[in-house]
Amino acid sequence: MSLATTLPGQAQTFDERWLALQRAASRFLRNRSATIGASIVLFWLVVALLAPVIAPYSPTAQRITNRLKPPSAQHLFGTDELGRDIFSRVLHGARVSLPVALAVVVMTSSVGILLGAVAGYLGGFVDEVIMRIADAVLAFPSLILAIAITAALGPGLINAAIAVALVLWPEYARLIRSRVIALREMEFVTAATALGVSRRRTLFKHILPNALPIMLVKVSLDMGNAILLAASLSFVGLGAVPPTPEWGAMIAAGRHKFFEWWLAAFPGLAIFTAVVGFNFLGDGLRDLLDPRMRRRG
Amino acid sequence: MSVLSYFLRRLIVTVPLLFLVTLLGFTITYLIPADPLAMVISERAMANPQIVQAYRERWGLDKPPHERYLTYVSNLLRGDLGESIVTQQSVAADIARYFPATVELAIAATLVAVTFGVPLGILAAVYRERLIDHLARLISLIGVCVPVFWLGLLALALFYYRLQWMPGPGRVNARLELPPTVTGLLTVDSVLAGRMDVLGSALHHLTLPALVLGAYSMSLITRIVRSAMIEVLQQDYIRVARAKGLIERVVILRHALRNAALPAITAIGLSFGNLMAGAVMTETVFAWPGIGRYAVESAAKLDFAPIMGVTLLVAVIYIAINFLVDLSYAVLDPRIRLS
Repeated sequence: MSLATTLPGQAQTFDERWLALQRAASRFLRNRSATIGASIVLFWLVVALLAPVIAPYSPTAQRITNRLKPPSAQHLFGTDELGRDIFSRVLHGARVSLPVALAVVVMTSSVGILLGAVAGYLGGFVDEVIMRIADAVLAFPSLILAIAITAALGPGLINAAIAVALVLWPEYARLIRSRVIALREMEFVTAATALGVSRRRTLFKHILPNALPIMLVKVSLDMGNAILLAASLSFVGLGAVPPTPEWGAMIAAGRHKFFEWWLAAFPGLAIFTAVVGFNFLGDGLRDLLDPRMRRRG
Repeated sequence: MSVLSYFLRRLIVTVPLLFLVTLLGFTITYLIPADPLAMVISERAMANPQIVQAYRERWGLDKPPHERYLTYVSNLLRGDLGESIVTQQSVAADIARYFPATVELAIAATLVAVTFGVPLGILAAVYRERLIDHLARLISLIGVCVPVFWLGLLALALFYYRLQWMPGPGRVNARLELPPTVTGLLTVDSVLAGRMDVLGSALHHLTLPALVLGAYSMSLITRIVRSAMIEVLQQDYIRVARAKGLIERVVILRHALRNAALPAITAIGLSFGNLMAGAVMTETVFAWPGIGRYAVESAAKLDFAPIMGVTLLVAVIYIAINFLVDLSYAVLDPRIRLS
């Protein structure tokens, strides 16, 4: 415990915040999972930003004479059925998968956090209704529900993202609800209520900020989940539409081509490393932010 | 509390939940703009209002939504899951045809996951921070992060196409004449009929999908067994067991593992439920004729009744497994009372 430690909900001076930030940064850098995860995630972010610059070819340029070539110095990951450079397509795929995953996580966490917080804070009938709907959604096999929703909305990445978000929100609602219920009984909340702070302000200014660290962990782990689910939807033909260089769709294109292993191998490797990155980051953040959930060993 | 009254109390909570599931599924299919008829009748027929009208009446799509929902629920209460618009068969019959294949695959995958996951978790905990532990953690990380459909394709490319150790997609060699259906589980049916050739082919076909599907559950089981064992091994009674001179094997298998069994059983139970649902991608890649593939195909065609039927089935299985897991707690740990 240091002098700069403040009680939850208590105002901090600028200096205190700066100090706390520095301390957090140094703890972050000493955590192996967090740094490995952050590096991988950073790598894919840079790839996503710079893909047009670093990719040797256009991701959609076709050269039929050059089709299904194995990996070589010219085409690091080989070429696909239409003679497109797979290396370039994998790099550009980051510009598809990462924004989709981000959109999913933003949508699902804001809906889930809002509903979970309201349910936990108000309790009673509202709580009962929201949580029973959450239970019902959780009772669906998530992938089947996502497939049904995407099929209904029509194939496409945005619809796939909406479907995945609709499937994932109950987990956020449950998690944030349990945190809010725990925090609701804390003294600083009672104090705020006693001081005449409105219910809405108490919830959004005093309770929610204290429940956010645990959300950050969930968000990071879910970026990985969202990438996997979106890729699965594209794999069964409901996500990205051609010629979008989406990783799941690229794997689907190599589905029946066992000889041309490079068609499916490299996009899969991209999904795998990106998911590993977000998982490491999430595990590391959990160690840092929530000492009670610290992994043993 | 007796097991029976515990069971009844759980049932009272469960039934309304299942109805909520149907209501939710129905609302989703109602709210969406797409028309299921466009999936089954041709574009030219769609332009003919008479044909469209006839279809709507045949499938009850001309009725207002609340009436359609009430019809569905009243049929459901009589055990009728409705009819598939695409296959024009009763959903119950379709599910009865596809479900055994999924059960067979899920059981095989669970066997794989438990046989490898539990020992690996124990070894990782006993030899903590040593090579085997790092290896176990690496394997479980890979299992959680790897896309199942990709793993399946790589496995097929390597073991079927390149090495030719394994047969290709499908459940059994198509040239074999199948034994009469008794349980629907091909392995069991072939033993009952004394057809060892079918049994061999079925097991051979089952190996690769079961390994691929089991990989994910294995990772979860390894992780949970490891952390539970690490916690138990630090307890005083383990120190006592060692102090009184028991050999290490007995300490670990009798004293520690029994106490680490609760979280392990939860993990195994939950992962079995997940396998039922998670088989979707594996079944797609391995052309496995199970309910996962049935659900995907129905979902892509907006066929409401089969999606709902599979969902209800999976939800019931999930709830049943949770119930069994809770019951096993009370059996394994006398301190836990059902409540």
